[in-house]
Amino acid sequence: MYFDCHTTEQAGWTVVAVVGELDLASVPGVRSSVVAAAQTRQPPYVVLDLSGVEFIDSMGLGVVVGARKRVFALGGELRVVVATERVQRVFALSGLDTLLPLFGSLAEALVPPTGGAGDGT
Amino acid sequence: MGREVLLEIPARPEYLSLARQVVAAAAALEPSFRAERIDDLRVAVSEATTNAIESHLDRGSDERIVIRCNLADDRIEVEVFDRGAGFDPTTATTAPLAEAQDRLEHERGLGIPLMRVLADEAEIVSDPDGTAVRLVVYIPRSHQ
Repeated sequence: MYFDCHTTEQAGWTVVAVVGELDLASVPGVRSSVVAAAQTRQPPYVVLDLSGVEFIDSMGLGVVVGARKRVFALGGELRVVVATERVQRVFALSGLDTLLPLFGSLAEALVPPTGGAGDGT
Repeated sequence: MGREVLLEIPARPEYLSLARQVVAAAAALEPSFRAERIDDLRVAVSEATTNAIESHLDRGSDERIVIRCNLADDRIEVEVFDRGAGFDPTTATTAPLAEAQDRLEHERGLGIPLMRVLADEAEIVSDPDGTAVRLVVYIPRSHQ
């Protein structure tokens, strides 16, 4: 199974980009990357970029919900990029598409945070 | 005539992808199965197999998970068998598939509701010696 997760700083956001399949086998890697990303600045502004994810199941959804809780608890903001139809469908079937801030591309997600921070510095 | 594929995997997370691939490849043998329904089946099988793997890990069991895939003329039926401690499917804690704000409090319990939505039939039979999950996806009659 191909899986990769890497973190970059872009436009005032900490971007955690996930590529491959997001399931029981890969969620520990994503979770630890999110935990680290949430520590990079206070409050944390994190984008979870799932545009490279070709498969997601409930374990993957769970790690997204957990990331949102963690970032919110620290007063920050989490945005999620979901670009493929099959991943969008799983979010929609779970009802999470209406509750989480989902973006169709990384470029759309990288506009300044609603909290007023994220000025690129 | 039915075509059956039998797969046994070690109860380890890294074998989950293999289970999905085998079931999807078996479903693809039937040309009238739409790609979206095969994707739905992949997710449903992933949910059932995840629960099976976790039940063996919880019990410290090194027994294998058995996945039986039967391709019939009108449907594909997938059964996932484990020898975990079992659970009561009627009282299992599940997250609501609803647009309620407290939905975001649930990191777990998403699998069974998703499985039921994705498959045309999802049946769970569980006792203290293990669990059997049966998933059925029908081939649209107009495509037969």
